[in-house]
Amino acid sequence: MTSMPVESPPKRATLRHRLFRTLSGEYFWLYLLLLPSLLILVAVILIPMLFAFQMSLGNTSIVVLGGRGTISNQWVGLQNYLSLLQNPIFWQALRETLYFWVVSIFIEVTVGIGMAVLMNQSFFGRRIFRVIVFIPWAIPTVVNAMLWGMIFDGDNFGALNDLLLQWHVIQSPIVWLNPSALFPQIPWLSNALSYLGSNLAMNSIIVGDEWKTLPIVAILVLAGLQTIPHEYYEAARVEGASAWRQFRQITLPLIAPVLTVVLILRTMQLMRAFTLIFTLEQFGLPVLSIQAYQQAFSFGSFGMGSAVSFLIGLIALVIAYFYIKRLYREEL
Amino acid sequence: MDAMAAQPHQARPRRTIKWSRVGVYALVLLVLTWTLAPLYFLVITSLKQYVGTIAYPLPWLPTPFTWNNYAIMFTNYSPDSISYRFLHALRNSVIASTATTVLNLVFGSAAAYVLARARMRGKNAITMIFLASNLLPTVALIIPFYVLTVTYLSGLHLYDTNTLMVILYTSFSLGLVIWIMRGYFGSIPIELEEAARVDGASRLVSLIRIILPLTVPGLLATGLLTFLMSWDNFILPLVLGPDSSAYNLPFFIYSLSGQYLHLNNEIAAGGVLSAIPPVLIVLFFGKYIVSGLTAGSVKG
Repeated sequence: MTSMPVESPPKRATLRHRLFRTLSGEYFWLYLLLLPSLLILVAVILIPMLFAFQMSLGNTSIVVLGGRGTISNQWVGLQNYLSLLQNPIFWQALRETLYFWVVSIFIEVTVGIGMAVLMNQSFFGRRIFRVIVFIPWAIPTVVNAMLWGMIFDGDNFGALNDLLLQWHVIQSPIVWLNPSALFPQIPWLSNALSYLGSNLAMNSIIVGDEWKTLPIVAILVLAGLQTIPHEYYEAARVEGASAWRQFRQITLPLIAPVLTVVLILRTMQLMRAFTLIFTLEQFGLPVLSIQAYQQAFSFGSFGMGSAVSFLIGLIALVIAYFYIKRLYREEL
Repeated sequence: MDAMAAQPHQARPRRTIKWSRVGVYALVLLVLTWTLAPLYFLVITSLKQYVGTIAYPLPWLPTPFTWNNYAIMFTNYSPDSISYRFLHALRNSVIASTATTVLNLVFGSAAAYVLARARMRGKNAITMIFLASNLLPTVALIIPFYVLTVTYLSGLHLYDTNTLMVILYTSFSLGLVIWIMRGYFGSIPIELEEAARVDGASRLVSLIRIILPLTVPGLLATGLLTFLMSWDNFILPLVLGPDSSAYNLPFFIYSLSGQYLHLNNEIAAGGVLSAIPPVLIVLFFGKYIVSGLTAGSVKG
């Protein structure tokens, strides 16, 4: 460590002295290495974010003529945010986003850990199995969307309808990707579920999304499982602990760190989920990200769109804060 | 860590073996069906003639069989033909993903090295800001990107160019690269570097000759992750590059579905073709990707 530049200057040092020390130091080029990344960060992330905030405070609209756009931005203060918060559609979008998040995370915790535990058993062909399970994660999101669009197709040649009709589970094809209410026979349940953002299309979308994302959750949890020493289980078995007890008291606490990180990362992805929902539903399932896009690019109301996307960014940053705090607790 | 490696399993009491065996194989079969059935459906759809995709009951073999869905992606090249659009999308995907990967590795690992080694005030704060920038959703930034590109920066003519795509993709994955590579640099003993410097190597030489070779697994992991992320991107071309000079494969496949005739077999063929590179990456380099993704969680 002795050869490192000492960055804490003497108390009396002026700014000029400090600048001089930094610039003339043997390690000046070290900072030069940092420069391109910092420039990208400022120019492509920070400035656009501040710009989004500025737009969200105005009645922003854009006219593009011949590839050259002019922007008109009338200052309206917090008007956009206030009207968002008063808009029931916004709250519905928020609930749908939350529903999408809660159910996906629940599936990932239960089925994801289950798959990881299964992959950790010894059986014939385990290596191949682990490779095959990984494949759906590699399928590009749009391809995944198209694939599940074909499976959930509302006509009787949708793969799922085709199977269910042939097995006589259903009598007529179901339009799986239609955001229709569940359990229409039971009004109160149907209304409650719709209020919470649950409808047929939403649940179909979750299935399609899980097909692609369960593998990565399972494989990362498996990575955590493999760090658990076998002696723990042997000791537990000597003590006569049941399999469930072993899982609860050894496995779960020891995979908790990796699980937390995976779930926070997945939370970020679910909050920003756009591609799958947009390609299959267009604006039929207006979760927050879809709403931001719709406000800006179909209604031309860039101020309102910026307000929604700024809120998404804010939510993301709050989650990111917990994620980063967690990572640093491990490292520092 | 190594999720793919075989690992000896603990012995179980003999009595229970039989039933738990049956259960394990039943579950394995279930997971395999869940994983492979949709893939099988995609592949057979891509090999069917159109009538085979709208029949009831659906043929569960590629009948009536044809290679034509793949052939049209490469033949009859003329403006606005499907092969024109496919090949342009392929070219753009390859250019943008490769350039993004290279830029990310160069800039990202340079920054990561500094953030791992230099004694500098606020380097943890800088690292955190980079990481947070990576977690920021694309959709939260796409509106300012669009507005800036078409208004204030319209003189740069960035709209609908691969250059713009590369700049934006790079900014999205840079934080991840820095985070992962910082961990790899930090795990290399500083004495190794100092020894090289005692032998007269400059800091730059010791970085390139001694340190970089040791971080090859990390470079591979982050490079592949970056490549996969940019290969998968959809919203940027949707908003900022909807023309053949910049759209990528995901956008091409989406545009197939928006046609007047929604031809599932052609969409499936395009899907299979654009899934081949990432699937090959996962099949051959899966363990590097897992190690990259767990760098922030398991390793700490």
